[in-house]
Amino acid sequence: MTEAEIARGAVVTWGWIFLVAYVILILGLGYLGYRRVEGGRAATSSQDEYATARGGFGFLALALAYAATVASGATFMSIPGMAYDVGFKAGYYALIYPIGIFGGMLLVARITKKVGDRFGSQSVPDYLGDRFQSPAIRVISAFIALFLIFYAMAQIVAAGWMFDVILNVDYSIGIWAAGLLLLVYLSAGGSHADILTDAIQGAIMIAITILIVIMFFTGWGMDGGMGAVNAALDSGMQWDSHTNPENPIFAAWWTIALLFVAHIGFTAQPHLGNKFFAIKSNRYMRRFMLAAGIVGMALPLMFLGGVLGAAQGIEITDPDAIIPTLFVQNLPPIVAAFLGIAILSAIISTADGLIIALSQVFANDLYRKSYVPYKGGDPDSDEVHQRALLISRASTVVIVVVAVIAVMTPPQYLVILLWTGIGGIISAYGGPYMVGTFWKKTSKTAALGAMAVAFAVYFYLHLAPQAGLIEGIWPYNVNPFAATGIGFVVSVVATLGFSLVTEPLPDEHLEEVFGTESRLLDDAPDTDD
Amino acid sequence: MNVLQVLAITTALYLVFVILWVTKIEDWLEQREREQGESA
Repeated sequence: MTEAEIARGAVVTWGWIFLVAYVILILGLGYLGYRRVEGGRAATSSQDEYATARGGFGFLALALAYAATVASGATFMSIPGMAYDVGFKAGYYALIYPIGIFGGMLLVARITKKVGDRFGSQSVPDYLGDRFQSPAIRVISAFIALFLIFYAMAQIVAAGWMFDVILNVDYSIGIWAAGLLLLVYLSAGGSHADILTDAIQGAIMIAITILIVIMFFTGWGMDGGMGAVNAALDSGMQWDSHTNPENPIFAAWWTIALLFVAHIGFTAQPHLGNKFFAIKSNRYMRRFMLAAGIVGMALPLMFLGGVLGAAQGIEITDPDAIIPTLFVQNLPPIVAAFLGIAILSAIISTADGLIIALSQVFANDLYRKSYVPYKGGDPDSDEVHQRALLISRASTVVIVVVAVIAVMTPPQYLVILLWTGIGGIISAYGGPYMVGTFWKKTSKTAALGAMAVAFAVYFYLHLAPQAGLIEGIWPYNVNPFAATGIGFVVSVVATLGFSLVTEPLPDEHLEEVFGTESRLLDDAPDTDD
Repeated sequence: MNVLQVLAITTALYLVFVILWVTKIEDWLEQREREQGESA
């Protein structure tokens, strides 16, 4: 047996030990989440606890959970893989996208929490329906949110792949193992389980990121620090190379700028927007913003691992495997195995948020807040809440099973389908959500019109060319970020423009939406603690 | 400037923006909301 095979065997052994500990931890937190859901505090129903964990978390746990949800498998696999391929310029993606997302979060977090609590909104589509007093917007947004299933599928593919790499478990078994884990703790503990597990996983991910940063800046495995890392790269990958006209993502500064713009609207994703409901009070929102904004910027530094791997001359066929390979080749097996679990954490922590958001499309958006009122029922009755909770749990199981079955043979066009969801949601929701949060005169008609126009623009720029319907315009036809950036700008401009020429919502409703929070009217000064 | 220097400056500016938002703009937004509530 060669030395490499012995090391590989040790990684697998340690991987199993860490996996068992990880599963016990996640299931334990899932049980804790279950008790919180079933315990349902006085102000909320069990369904609301399942859907939102409303008011259940402090700022730090929620900030870690939010950052972990943003950082999907892409942060630990695709982005370092991109850096392995293109060098330092991948940092423009790695560090610009979180600035967009967390900058967008600053704009909408407090008002989303305020309005969501007032109307009992349980999801982003529900929030939009409540904000614009429009069942049509709620239903259309809910159907668009269903595209998130492709995002969830992509995470399950990544999880199956990690089982294969770290534990030598066949992909087809790995995806079912990941699915079963998700299914058990999410159907039990809902949003509580989602946030509890994500907070812990966020902390694990920070530890691994710190390790990667240290390795890069010390020029691990090389002589001469990070200068030696740079010198070992091909000239087109070195840190003096900012753009590449042949690469659609880094073609020019303006494509990088559009990448930033696209991600401002990313905040509107249903699995992120629903996190704001979970903070104890808006009194803690500033601390949440600060903590999430800092932690969220740290995790994408993983891209430096891809640069280091390329500099070390590591040869791999799949660039996405660069981080695990880098660890296996440079560090003791125990650390390499821990990294595998950290990557699995990144994948699971995004998948669970997506699945909870999807479950609420059926339980809340379509059933409780659309079908029940349509039939003349009371969406706030105990009976409806109980039925919605049952639908939440049942749909969680169905979504996981469907997602796993769908990727048993990974779809050839999964990335395209994934960006149908992400880009389509950002284009459709972006304007109504961001503009409607701040501007009272944003009208219902404008929101509907902007959703249609911006989605159509995104379809023309990116989805139709990707589907082979038209050739399209370069780089939008192959660069989803640039196309989404344009879609988001169109959404914002259309929302503003249509609102100027259409009827605003009634004053009483606007007062309910924008009225002052009671905590701000107290005589005592707000100490924000 | 190299890529790392551009990213370091961008990140520093972002952090300044976050701190300004949290300490100043949120203050201003809450103050405006408070005044609207008192005048209503």
